[in-house]
Amino acid sequence: MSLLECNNLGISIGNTSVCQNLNLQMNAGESWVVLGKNGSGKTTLIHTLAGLRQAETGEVRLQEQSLHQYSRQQIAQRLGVLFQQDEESFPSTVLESTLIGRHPFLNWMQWESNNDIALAEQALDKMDLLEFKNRDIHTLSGGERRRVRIACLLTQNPDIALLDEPDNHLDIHHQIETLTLLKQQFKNKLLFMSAHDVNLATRFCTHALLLLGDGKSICGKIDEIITTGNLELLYGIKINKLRQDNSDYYFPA
Amino acid sequence: MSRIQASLLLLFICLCSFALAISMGSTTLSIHDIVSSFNEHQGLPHTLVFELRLPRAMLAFVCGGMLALAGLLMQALLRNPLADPYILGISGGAASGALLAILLGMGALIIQTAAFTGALLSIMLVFALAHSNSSWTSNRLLLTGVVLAAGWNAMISFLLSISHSQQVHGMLFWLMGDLSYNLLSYWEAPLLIIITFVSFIFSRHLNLMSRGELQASALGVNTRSLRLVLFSTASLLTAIAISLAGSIGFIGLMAPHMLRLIIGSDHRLLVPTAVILGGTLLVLADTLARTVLAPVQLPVGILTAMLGVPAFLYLLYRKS
Repeated sequence: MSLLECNNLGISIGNTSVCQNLNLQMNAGESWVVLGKNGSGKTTLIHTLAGLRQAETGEVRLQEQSLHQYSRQQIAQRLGVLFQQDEESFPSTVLESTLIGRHPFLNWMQWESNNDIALAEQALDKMDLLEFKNRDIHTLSGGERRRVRIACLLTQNPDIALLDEPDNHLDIHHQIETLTLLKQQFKNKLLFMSAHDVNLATRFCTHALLLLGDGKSICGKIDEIITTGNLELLYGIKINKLRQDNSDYYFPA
Repeated sequence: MSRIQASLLLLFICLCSFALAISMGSTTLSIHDIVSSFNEHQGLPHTLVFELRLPRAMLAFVCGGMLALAGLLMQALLRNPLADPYILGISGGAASGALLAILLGMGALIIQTAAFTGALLSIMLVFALAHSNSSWTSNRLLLTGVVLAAGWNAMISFLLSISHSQQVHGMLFWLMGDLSYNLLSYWEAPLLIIITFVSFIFSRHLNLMSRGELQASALGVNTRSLRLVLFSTASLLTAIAISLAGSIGFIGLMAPHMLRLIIGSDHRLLVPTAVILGGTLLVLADTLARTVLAPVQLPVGILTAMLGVPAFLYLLYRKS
């Protein structure tokens, strides 16, 4: 069963076309990366897939039903989003900020139970943040706040996770650790992330979508899509490839 | 101090403020007098308590509670710590209406009605402007309100400058907030209780909303309708409070922030405590306003700031 698919999806921002007639079928167990230049519409695509933005043409289907047939709460029970930036303007503790991941599963009068708190604490523990649980998030560094957001997503534990540049603000140690953990947590589920680091993408993802601009895109299995030729077409610069320990690494020439 | 202890302390201070409001004034009533006024349905204590001081304290409490709740809702809606009930220009519209009525020599009821009408006009203007474009962002809403407020301010200055000096005194009192003209009718207090209860039920949604609309939406909040409800509820509360008591500044901004510093930012606690703290502050301020320079009554707005500013600064710098 496809977890998330889009049929003939067309999105544009102002006069710039992000994608036209995009057809994707994403199944459990896959992890997708979307690559593209700045402003190519990776974030916009993620927002559209999450139903936070209206598509111009075509439709997004979640578990084989049109996204429109779900309420926001029903979507949130199945699909989680990691945004590129957080907009927290009021003080809040790390635990409170993580616990909001349980919101979709509580009815309107319910308070978080001890079980919910335990789930949030487990997620914080996985993100090495448990000792910070009573700290105000504004006292944390950018990378630590990023990990709080990821802990929140783990607490929500959806079937589909849309991650907008999950490696943002993270040092390379935490990049590898966090993506390994996400990969493991979403092993039989679906990961869809945007990224700029091609080598991180080839290391963690099974499928790729390249947004080439002007509404053109290519998608498919990652080893078929990530080639020197496609990357040069995508980024418009000369790309070299290096082979080490049976893996290919791409870098600007 | 735990959150529960802080809430209980607040409740205690609230009761004390009512006791003070009832006992202080031209004739000081002892606890004995107050108790007897509840039993004997005649005599000076009974008249003082039930016809003068308690109704006025109730008015102060309801207005303060409404302003604090409106401020809290506005801050969640606009996600801006500087938001207060007046930030969208509601007070300007109300003031223009009230001042116009004063200028024309109208009585208290007409002034109240004119203030409410002005506030509604301002709310609808902001709403129409911010909604005419599909891209309703909180910054756009904020800017619309601030610019409209500037326009209303010019109107207020104009009305002040063309008025007679006797009228200007009354106008200034209205602008600084004054509780001596109006009394509550039967519906304001129940309305505040209902809105507080409904806000309390939706406080987990408010928690999410104050973290950003996209995040809230991604976690299952229907932000479109919540935004509309928050906007209209906060505006309505402000319009009612302002038409009863003039533009009392400060409480709507400070009460929610003081509470955030003490009990954190969970709206399940913030909603009820903001109403109680806002009400308590205004009861205390009004009691002082009518007693410190008695028989001269000061506008209550002066006292809310005099009480609130040091208390707020103390809380803000206590931790660091």
